[in-house]
Amino acid sequence: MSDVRAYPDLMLCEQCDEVYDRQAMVQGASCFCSRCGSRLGKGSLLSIGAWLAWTITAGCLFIFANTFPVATISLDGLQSEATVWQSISALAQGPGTPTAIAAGVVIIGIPGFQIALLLWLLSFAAVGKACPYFVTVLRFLHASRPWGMTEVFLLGVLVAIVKLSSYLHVVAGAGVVCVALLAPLMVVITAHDTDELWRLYERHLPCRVV
Amino acid sequence: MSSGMRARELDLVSCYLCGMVCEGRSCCEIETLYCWRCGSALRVRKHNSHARSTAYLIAALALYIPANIYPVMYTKMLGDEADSTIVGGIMEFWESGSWDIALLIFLASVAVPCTKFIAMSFLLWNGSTTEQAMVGKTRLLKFVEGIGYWSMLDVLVVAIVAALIQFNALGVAEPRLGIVFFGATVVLTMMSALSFDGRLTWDRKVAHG
Ligand SMILES: [Zn+2]
Ligand SMILES: [Zn+2]
Repeated sequence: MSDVRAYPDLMLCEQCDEVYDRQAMVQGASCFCSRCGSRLGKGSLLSIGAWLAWTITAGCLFIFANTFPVATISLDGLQSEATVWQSISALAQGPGTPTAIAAGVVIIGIPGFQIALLLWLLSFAAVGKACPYFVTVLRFLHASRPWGMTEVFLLGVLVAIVKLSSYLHVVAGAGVVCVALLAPLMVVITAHDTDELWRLYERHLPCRVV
Repeated sequence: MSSGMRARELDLVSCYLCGMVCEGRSCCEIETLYCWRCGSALRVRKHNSHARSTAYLIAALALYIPANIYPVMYTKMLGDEADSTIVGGIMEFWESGSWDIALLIFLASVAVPCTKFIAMSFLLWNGSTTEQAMVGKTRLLKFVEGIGYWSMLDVLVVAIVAALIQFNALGVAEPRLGIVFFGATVVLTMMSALSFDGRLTWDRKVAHG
């Protein structure tokens, strides 16, 4: 670490650089910047244990959402059902490759990656340890946050089913139910405040400068 | 709670990743300092924020035109053959009676991108520095960041419709060039909002007193 002096008790408003005292803020119910009105920190709603539990739940739902069919299509006795993964990879074969890749990244790649990183990070944190590659993991989580689109995917599946149902008989499958449960969970686990994790990491730093 | 001080007066800078407040703001422009806790390079403002945000916005605007001209999807179902554009798709839902879906796609593919174009241009070029305008602009940026990714809806709808149809011999649906342009527009508007540093608005206020 460099010899920069740090002030763990202070925090700056992300939007306008106003200086705040962390200690005074924990008790204060209102956590909004008095200057620009934006939120200061996200507040720790969940303990690390609960966060890990929800992440494990999200992981299971993610697997189910990708193994159960999202829709069953039938017309004149011809019936077919498809999972998310099957549909996306089938689309990637034809002229729809760029669309398939983009959709695959935002609905499978990024959420799966985020869940995997959080599982790694939180299972160490739950026993009071900082995981190997802690900073890198948090850097990836930070960068990937805007690009996970499970809730948009949910809406997209529903619209697609409505669109197809004017030509064919389409029934939503169990996969859609899993996506519906997964969407709010992804928001909870990826938007959670990381401040507690950073304090845990700080305790494990080899030397304390302050 | 608030000290009533800004970081510049106390020579402080906060880490973009872990939020740790470190000393040495004035040195940041001359040499690279690293966060005491996580080791990320400390930056007073996002790198080249205004220029990058403008560039992404202009690129997004330029791509939004072909996104609307070229068809986004080709469908052939029960003998009906059609190339539909974004607006065409909305009209089709509207005429078939599902006005709610038409409205949803209109919001995601037309209203949200246009709101983003207007809001980002406003943030980039509006110079008013009254207290109210500043608070408003800070909220506007949060709002733009929050709604941006919903525009991906149409891309995902096209992908899912085309993907599901692959498993049924009775129809064909293929994504067309327009959807690639549209997807790029959405990604670029998101990049524009992400690279815009909200603190720049407040810097301007300080500069003008
Ligand atoms: Zn503020
Ligand atoms: Zn840091």
